[in-house]
This record gives sequence, C-alpha cells and structure tokens, in this order.
Amino acid sequence: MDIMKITLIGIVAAILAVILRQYKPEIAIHVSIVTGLMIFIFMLTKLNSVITVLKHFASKANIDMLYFTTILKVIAIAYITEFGAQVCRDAGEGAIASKIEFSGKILIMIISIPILAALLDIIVKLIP
Amino acid sequence: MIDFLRSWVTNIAVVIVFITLLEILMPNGDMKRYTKVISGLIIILVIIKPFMMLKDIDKDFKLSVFETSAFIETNIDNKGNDLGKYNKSIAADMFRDNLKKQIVSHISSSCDVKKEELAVEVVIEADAASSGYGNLKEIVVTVAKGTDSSIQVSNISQVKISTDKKVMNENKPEYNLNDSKLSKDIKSSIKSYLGLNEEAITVKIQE
Repeated sequence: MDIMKITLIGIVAAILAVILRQYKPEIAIHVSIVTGLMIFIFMLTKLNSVITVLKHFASKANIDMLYFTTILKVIAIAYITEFGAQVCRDAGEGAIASKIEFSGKILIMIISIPILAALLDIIVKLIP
Repeated sequence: MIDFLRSWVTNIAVVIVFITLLEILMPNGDMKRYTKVISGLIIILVIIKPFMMLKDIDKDFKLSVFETSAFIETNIDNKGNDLGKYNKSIAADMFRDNLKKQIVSHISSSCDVKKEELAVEVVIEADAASSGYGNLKEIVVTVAKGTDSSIQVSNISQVKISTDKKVMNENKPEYNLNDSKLSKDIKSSIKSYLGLNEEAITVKIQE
C-alpha cells in the first residue's frame, strides 16, 4: 500500500508544518521541502520501472528510439522543473520559481528544436 | 503496398496509444503545454512518414536532427571547445560502432558466414586536428568458425573426373583448406561495399 504511506507522510508533514509555522516559520518550510523530496524520490524509483516497461514496449512496437528518448527527456525536464518551481513557490520565492520554469522551457525547446528543424527541412524538400 | 499500408496504420495507432499513455505521466500545470507540443510533432512525423519515404529523405531527416542538435550543443557556450572535442570523440566512437555493425551485417548477408562468428575491428583516423579525420585506415575481420562446437564431417560427393571441362569446384571444402575463398569473398565484398583498398582489409579465419 504505497499510496497509504505517501498520504500518511503527506498528512503528518502538513500537520507538522501548520503547527511549526506559528512558532518557527522557517523550519516549517524545511519540513515541506523535505517531504516533497521524500515523496518525489520514492516515486522516482517506481517511475523508473514504468519507463523500463515503456522502453521495452517501444522497441517491440518498432518506434524510433530518437523520438522515444526525446519524449522521455521532455517529460523528465518538465517534472524536475515543476518540482523545483513548486518548492520555491512554497518557500514564498515566486521570482526564483518562475526563473526555474523559464530555464525548463528553454531546455525543452533545445531538445525539441532539432526535430522541429528537421520537420521544416522535410516540408521544404517535399515541395519541389 | 498493402504491407506498407498496414505497417503505416499500425505505427500511427501504436504511437498515438503510446503518447496517450505517456500523457498520463506528464506533470500538470504550465509545463504540460510544452510536452504536448513535442508529442504533437512526433505524431506529425509518424503521419508524414510515407512522404518521407517517397523521396528517401528519411536518412536526411536523421542527419539534420543530429546536425541541428550538434550545432546547438556546440553553440551553448562560447568556450565550448572541450565539449566539441568530447562530442567529436563520441561521434568517432559512434561512427566506428555503426560501421562495425554495417560491415558485419553486410558480410553475413553477402557471404556464407553467421553474424555470431564475425568480429570486426575498424581503425579510423581519430586525430581531430588532421585533415583526414574520420578516414578509414584499416579493417580487420576475424571469422571464428565452428563456434557451435559440433565438428562436422563433410560428405564427399562422388568425384567425377571429366576431361573436357576444367572446373575448380571452389565451394567444396577440400579445395578450401585455408578458407581462401571465404576470405577472398569477404575482402571483395567489403571492397565493393566501402570502396576501400584491398591492402587495408585483413581477414583472419580461425577454425
């Protein structure tokens, strides 16, 4: 029952953070960051097995690995960016959070531009 | 034609199911839009695949993907010389591995050798500063015969001696003591495949 574990960790951390916030707000932020990290890492190991299965499935279905790795990279960047931005936002640093999101968007763009450029190339070549 | 249509349709269906699956994995919020753009691009690519095959620009496509990503990566920082060198060494490694695979599959399809029996060593010019960077220097093909460990006694078919024809039966094992025909075959097939000098190709046959 992994979901029970995670929900309980979350509820306990939430109560702790609410109580701590009245006395020491800075420690409440630490609690929320650590809880977030714990849940994230816990789920990362599960996600790993899902991705291994998907990879197997992709190679079976004859999907080009170039596309597959691109999608996975984009998803991973999106996850990490979202996580970092939320942690910063929880700590009240909205400006840093939006910078993290900005860099995540640029990194996704860097990954996707080769495919986009090649697609445009094809379109140009197809028209004689 | 029907085969091609079938593979095309299954490919589209599989990719769409696949991306739907992956969309569950995608995080919510602002970043979702960006991931959706990429998955959309990939669906477009799968759909226009027949047009890509029409003019055989499938290979061009991959090449241009690599070119663009290499361009971006080398331009990321101005002091990217180290990165460029690193990329070049990776590229040389990749080139060597791909060449090995190609040679193995070419030999196994054109000559009577199994893929498992072949080992190919490729020497290329790895010095990035020289003008002939990436040129092929030497190919060593090693054929380890009889890895399946069963010793086969070749059946000698009835020998007919005719006086009117002078035919050397090259395919019979008794004429082939050092597998000279096999090594010659391999040499000539590599030579015609890669346009290389015969001196640069070495074939070793191990029984």
